[in-house]
Amino acid sequence: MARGPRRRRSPVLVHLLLAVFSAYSLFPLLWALVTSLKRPEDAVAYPPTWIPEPPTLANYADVLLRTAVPWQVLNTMVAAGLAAGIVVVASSLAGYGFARFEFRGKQVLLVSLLGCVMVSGATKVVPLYLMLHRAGLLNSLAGLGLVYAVEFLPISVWLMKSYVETIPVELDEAAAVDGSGRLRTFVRIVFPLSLPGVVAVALITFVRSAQEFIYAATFLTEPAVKTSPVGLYMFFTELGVEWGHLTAASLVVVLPIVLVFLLLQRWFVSGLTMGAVR
Amino acid sequence: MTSVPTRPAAARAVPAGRPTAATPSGRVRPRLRALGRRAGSDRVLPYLLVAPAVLLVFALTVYPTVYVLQTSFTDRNLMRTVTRAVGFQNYADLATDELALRALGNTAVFLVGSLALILALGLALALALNEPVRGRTFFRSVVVLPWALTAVVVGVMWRWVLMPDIGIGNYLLAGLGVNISFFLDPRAALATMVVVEVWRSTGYGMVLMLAGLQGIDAALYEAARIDGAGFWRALRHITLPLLVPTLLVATILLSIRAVNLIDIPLVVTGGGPARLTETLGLYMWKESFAFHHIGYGSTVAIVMFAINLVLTVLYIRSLPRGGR
Repeated sequence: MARGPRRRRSPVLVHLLLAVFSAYSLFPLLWALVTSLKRPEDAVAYPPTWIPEPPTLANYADVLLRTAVPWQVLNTMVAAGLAAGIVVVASSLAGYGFARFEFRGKQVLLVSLLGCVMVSGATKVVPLYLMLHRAGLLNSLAGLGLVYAVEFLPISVWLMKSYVETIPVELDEAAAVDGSGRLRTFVRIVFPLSLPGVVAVALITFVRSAQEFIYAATFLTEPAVKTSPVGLYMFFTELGVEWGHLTAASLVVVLPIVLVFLLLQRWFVSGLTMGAVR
Repeated sequence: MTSVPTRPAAARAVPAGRPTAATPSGRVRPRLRALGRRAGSDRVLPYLLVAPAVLLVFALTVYPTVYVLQTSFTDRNLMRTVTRAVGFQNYADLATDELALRALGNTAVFLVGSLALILALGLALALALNEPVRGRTFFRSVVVLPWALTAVVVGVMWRWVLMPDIGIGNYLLAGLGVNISFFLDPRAALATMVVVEVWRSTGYGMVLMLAGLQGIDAALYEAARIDGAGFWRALRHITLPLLVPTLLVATILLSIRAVNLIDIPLVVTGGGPARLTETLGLYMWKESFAFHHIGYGSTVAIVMFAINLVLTVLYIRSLPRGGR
């Protein structure tokens, strides 16, 4: 419980800063919500009105029943869920390997994993497109999920390694004395104890993958597999699209992710910080 | 039958395990080795454990990087089947490509503007949220929330707020006697891009710095207070020096992000008006996938990668000597 300087200089100033920035953070979201509840003619009225009158759910009904947005949200969940699954399995195994074993090349592998973080999506998008094309994985949610997993694996491996290191090695030893093999020790003891780390890794991968746009827009061209950010972008760039529909669709797209995020945000924040502090 | 070969190994592990269990938990390495001696398979096992992650990452990172370097020396075009090697032609073209040079300049402005604002605001918010203020969890969630939204939704919301003529942004600004065409004036459009990126990523910067702040020993502040140091002096002489490693990590992560960002520029301005606000990332993406110039796009990607590398090395070398 390390705190800043003991005497808060000016709680008023601190609160003012937080209030102003929160207003800035929330305003576009709230304005989208207000617009999505308006009738088309009210949405574009000038001067704008703060309260939709009468409020209507027609925009949401249109988006949910007459567009592909719900299916696209489902596609997003599939790709992001697959990525999170791959990351959980691969990073917890590797985290255990790096934390509990000494082997030749360990440091080199750890550092080069971190170096891979420097190769950004912008550098990789062209070759990945060509590779997925050759592998027949363009327009495939599996291919996209795999690419997402790789994007978050280096940080996740580091995170899981530091998490496993916080688990007392005595527990491994006790299991070994009881005759448990290394793999069984991992499954029965280390993995269950590193669950907070696993959740953080899964959550970061899921939330960040679900919002990814550039890979998805490049690798998915068939309507049936489009993820929600791509579908929304098509919608967004259509001529003469109604703002009521667009804002309603936006909120439908972000709602599942925002819910996951708000429910589990403590894990998200701890994951982000665990990954950063070393 | 199978228990026969393992017994001696297990027998060796027990005496190795027993005395170490009593030693202070500081020396992990010899104990790991003792654990490792149990079975002969322990020589192979660690490689098997790390293989899935390492192989996946290398296959989809190292190989593409080599590939993109190779492609940057060709005239590869998605619409043609024939590809020729062109040597350094793409690089020479890039050096005189006005659109690319403008994109480079825009990227620099975007990098400096967003980095400075995110670090400053993120630090201020982290300091505020490191105090026991009321509603801390709420404020923290709200500040980080934009980081969880997809860039397309961010684009929709901000374009709607800043819409010419009917947008609420100009309606509010009109009350102050200001009228800005956010998307028609290239400078205003670039500034808008920075504002939106700051909106989206400040929470991320704040979380990174909050973690750094919580790692600082509270006793230091206590001592400073007894010596009569106020908030600002404590900030300058305790917080900032001890926060240097965190600031370095945040700067590297945010810079790599800013240099390579494609989605925010695409959805906020789309590079417009008249391709005047394109960034390097957006320019590369358009060249590659809108105009099918994969070879030339790869050249831009390699230049971007080089910028990442140079920036990271510069940041690390700029650390105060003796500090770390």
